[in-house]
Amino acid sequence: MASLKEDPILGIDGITIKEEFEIAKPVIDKLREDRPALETEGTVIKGESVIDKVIEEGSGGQGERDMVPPTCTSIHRSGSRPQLDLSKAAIEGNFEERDPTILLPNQSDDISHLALDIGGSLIKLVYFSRHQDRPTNDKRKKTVKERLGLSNGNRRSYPILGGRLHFVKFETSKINECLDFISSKQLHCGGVDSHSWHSDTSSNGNAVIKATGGGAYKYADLLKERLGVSLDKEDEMDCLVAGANFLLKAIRHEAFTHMEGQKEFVQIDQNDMFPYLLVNIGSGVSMIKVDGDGKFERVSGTNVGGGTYWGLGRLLTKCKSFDELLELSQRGDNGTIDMLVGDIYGGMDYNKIGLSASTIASSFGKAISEKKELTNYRPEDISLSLLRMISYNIGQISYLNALRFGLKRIFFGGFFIRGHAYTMDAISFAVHFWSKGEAQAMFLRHEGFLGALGAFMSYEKHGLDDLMVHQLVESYLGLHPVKRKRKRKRKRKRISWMEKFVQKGTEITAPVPMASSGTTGLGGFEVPSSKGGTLRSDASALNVGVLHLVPTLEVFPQLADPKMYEPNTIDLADHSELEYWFTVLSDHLPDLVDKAVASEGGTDDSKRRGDAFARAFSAHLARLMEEPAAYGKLGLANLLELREECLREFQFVDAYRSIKQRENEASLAVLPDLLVELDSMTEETRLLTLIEGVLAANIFDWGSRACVELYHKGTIIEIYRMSRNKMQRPWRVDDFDAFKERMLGSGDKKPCPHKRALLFVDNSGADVILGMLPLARELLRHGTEVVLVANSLPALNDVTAMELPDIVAEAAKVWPRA
Amino acid sequence: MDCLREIETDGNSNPIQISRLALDIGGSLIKLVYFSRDSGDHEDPLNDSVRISNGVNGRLHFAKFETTNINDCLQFISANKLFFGVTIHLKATGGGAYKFSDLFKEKLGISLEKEDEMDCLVTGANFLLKAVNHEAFTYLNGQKEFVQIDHNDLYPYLLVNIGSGVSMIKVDGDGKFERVSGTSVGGGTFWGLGKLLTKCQSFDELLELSQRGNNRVLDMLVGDIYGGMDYSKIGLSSTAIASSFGRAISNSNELHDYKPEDVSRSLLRMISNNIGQISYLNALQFGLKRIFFGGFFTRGHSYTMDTISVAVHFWSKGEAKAMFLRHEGFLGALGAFMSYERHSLGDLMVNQSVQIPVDASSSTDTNYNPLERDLNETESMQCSVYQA
Repeated sequence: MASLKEDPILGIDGITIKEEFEIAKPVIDKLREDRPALETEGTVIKGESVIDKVIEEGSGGQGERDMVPPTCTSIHRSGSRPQLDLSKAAIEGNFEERDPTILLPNQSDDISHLALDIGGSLIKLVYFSRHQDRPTNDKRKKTVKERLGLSNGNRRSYPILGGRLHFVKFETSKINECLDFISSKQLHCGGVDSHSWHSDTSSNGNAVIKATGGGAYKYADLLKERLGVSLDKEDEMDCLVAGANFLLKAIRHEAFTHMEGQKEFVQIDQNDMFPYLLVNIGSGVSMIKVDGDGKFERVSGTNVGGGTYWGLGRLLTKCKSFDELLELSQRGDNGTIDMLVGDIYGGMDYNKIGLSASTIASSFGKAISEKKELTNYRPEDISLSLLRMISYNIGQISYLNALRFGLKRIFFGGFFIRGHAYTMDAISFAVHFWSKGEAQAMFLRHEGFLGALGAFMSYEKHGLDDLMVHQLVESYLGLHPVKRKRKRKRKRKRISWMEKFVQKGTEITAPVPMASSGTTGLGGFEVPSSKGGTLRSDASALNVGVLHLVPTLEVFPQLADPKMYEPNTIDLADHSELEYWFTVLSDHLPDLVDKAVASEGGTDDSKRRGDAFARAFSAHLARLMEEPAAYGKLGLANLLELREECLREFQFVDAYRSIKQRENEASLAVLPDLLVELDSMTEETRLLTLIEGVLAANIFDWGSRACVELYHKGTIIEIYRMSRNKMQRPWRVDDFDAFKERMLGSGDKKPCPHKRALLFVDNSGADVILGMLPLARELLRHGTEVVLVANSLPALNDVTAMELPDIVAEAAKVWPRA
Repeated sequence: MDCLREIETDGNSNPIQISRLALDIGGSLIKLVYFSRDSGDHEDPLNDSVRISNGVNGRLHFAKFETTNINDCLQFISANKLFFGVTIHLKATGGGAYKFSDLFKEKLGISLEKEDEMDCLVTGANFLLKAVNHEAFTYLNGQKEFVQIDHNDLYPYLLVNIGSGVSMIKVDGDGKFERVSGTSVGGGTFWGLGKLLTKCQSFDELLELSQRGNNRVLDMLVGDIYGGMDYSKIGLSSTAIASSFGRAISNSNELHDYKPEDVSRSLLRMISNNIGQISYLNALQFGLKRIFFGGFFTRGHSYTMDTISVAVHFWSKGEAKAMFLRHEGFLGALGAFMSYERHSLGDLMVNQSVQIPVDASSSTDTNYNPLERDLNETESMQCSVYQA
């Protein structure tokens, strides 16, 4: 697990360690395969050059290869990736063909860059940016290479695959802002690294962008004129359905129910998804019966939709924005303006037909009987009455249509909802009420972007299908809280401390430079799309994270019980738990900022980015405290990954770079001593010591206070030894005897080394160098092929796949040739 | 309410003897139905409530008051209460029968006998459909067409009563019904929102305004989104309303920049269309081909009926038909009226009452105000009541 030893508060966490063992176990199981022994010695160093090739595409490995470095795999146990970032398919391929297709190198080229959904009120953009290559201006790395005499620069082209789907919206009336945005990011040119896309649009002159919504027709000329692009118009309903199907299938925790303030995620069974009713609430409302991919029918709709709410609301309240109007509704009392059953029945229920006294008999019906004028009503009350009227109405008509076609599932999308709790509650209530509990309203977290997503996916049907195969991992940035300035004033007294806190975080944003030219994705800041967004739970702004396309996320198939695997060992649904981690992470923040700034050389620019990062991360934390489910289901791993994402977003490529470097150097310095010591042992003792070492290094790395103290006093190898001695068998998962028997044989059983071992490496420093490498070396001696598997992206002090080759190369230099 | 004047006038020259009165006290309006004997009939009114002789000719009168002006209503009843008899019970329905029960007791010494609202609506509707010729009609593209009701093939039908709110009732026979749905977006919404948006002083004024309005000013049409084009693939023409009031979003106009006529028109279309749609969906759910619309919202207003009809026609693809009732607003009151001695009277009236044209009925009311009459087309109808 990632090192947090700088933060002694975290201490040793038993659960996390257990998780380590669980991961280790299948590796050990895996070692049981029969495989004749191979020559071992000396080949390690030879393998080094192989490593580079393998990294490039992993194509050339032959029998003499000893260590296969990780390809695109990564473990994000500390990250938002809920599963091992390991492709099942790729591993199988590896075994049989030695053709690591893990990288899926061609997939992302098929993904084009920008799609638009131009509606009556809003323009929705979805665009894709690929992860850029690792930065190549790492001086230390160069020195390492120089020192090692590694001259080839191939590693730079190591394809970190995947990318991000960004979601942005503009008001249709401000289409020019949208065009400026596209133009500034050069989205219409296909972006920097979209080779295939460029190939058929050699210049900007005849670029084609997929677009849907009525505006795709209305504004076609404008886009041609301003950006020189043609719009390829996709049918609106097609796109809505494609987008919804995609989200439901590809995104975990996309759909949820919302009843009486309770948000609950719905597990979608992809084999039992259809049919469903899709209700898209934009300016107007479309209701679509969806029977499968591309199989659907628009069965109904209503003209009383988001446009009605905002249009009438604007006339009645003088609100300046949709979000303002929504916000007002939260403080409203519709009883002042709606005629309730109780008003007609003198406070009594009309039980016979199941109407309670608080049921609305007539929306706005009370405005009849009083002498009041518009100005006598509170805008809050008006807004709430309006919201209830429209939400109920939509819920009712939706249910009636679902009923008509026997559909039990109703998904609501469109920008009307905006993650607004009351709106969702009202719709859910209506569906529940009218269906007598039989039907359920479900909502989509990317509610507003169905059409745009669908248009995006219409680029190339093949690429699309591939996309579906991948797992999309959502993260939290891209819609930057720090960019959204609050324009409107609030009534002061209404502002809670939390709001102030958040507001602070959103206002003072130092302009942060764009990523260096020629890069997309990492870094890079978008112009805020809508000025109305806030960090509040009712605002759509943060409801949607950027989607990360991560190639092939699968649970590691060799796990004892892959179905039970849950990387989030700590569920933050419990509020006190959340509060605890909130505090820990907040306290740790200044220290982290220092590290991050230092990792970038402490320049003014990095300081500014450090500040911005701190504010952004704080804002995210604050939002999560307010609404833990804001970004989907929240576990500790997600929280930690959020932090990493946040760092990367502010171009701190690797905040722990120097720390990792220091730890690696210290460990490498003592490695020869350790190896000599190991080699002096009997084989049996050595095997045990090696496994203890693997475990010890990890525990040590998590760092209790005592360990931290030791760290300051003793040498690294002393600490390593001490922690190793603390390991008392039996361990929590203890397969050692079986392992030993297999490795060394017993009685008349012959040793039976494994054909291949996957070693999942974790932290830099002692963990990988003093723990894993010696074990790898031992396995190699027994003729087992060893694959080291590491993270693709930096996370705390985890060693990354990118760093491993250098570390292995360094280790090889000190490897005693016993 | 002018009914009062009407009664007084009659009282001077040729007093109407109210022998029976029932109330429907809704959220916005109080509806009254009462029976008066023909002038030639000189039976003792005090005994009338208990003794209906064989063969009583008379008239059913229909009157309404705003619920806020309930005192006018009380005054009216008070002025005529001598006719009711000694122990005074009035049949009443609607929420107000509960809410104002004490008031009636206190002010008039009258006990309200509460009848269930849905019961009354259905009874009233069934009565009208069976007993009154030319009660139901369709209204499409400005064409009013009376519908011949086949008594043997009346059920089932959907009754949509549009009062302040809307109730939708599936009717399977006399007394056999179920309230299957409803919506809070009804007449009260039109008038409530309309009052806030236009400063109109009355519901009728607001309705009137709508006739001169243009909904395209405020409504976002399909053509607005598609740059003037239809979205023909899903059957939406460019003039279809994509979003009611949706255009109020995109320009900087404020409320006072819009003509009240246009506001009223958009509002009326939004609500009528919505009611039509939900009604159709409910009719569809239960396989009902006939939908009758009642309640005071429509008020015989052609544009309202037109919009509802179009909505039903559009969503049902022509399969279902909206029908309207000429005594639309009095279903509940009529039902309450008929709940007096249901067994002996009900059947007879159904079969033997004779509706006479409104114009004819008004001839006896010398001071009758024709303007008022327009708004409430059916002041009275002539009936013959026989005892079983």
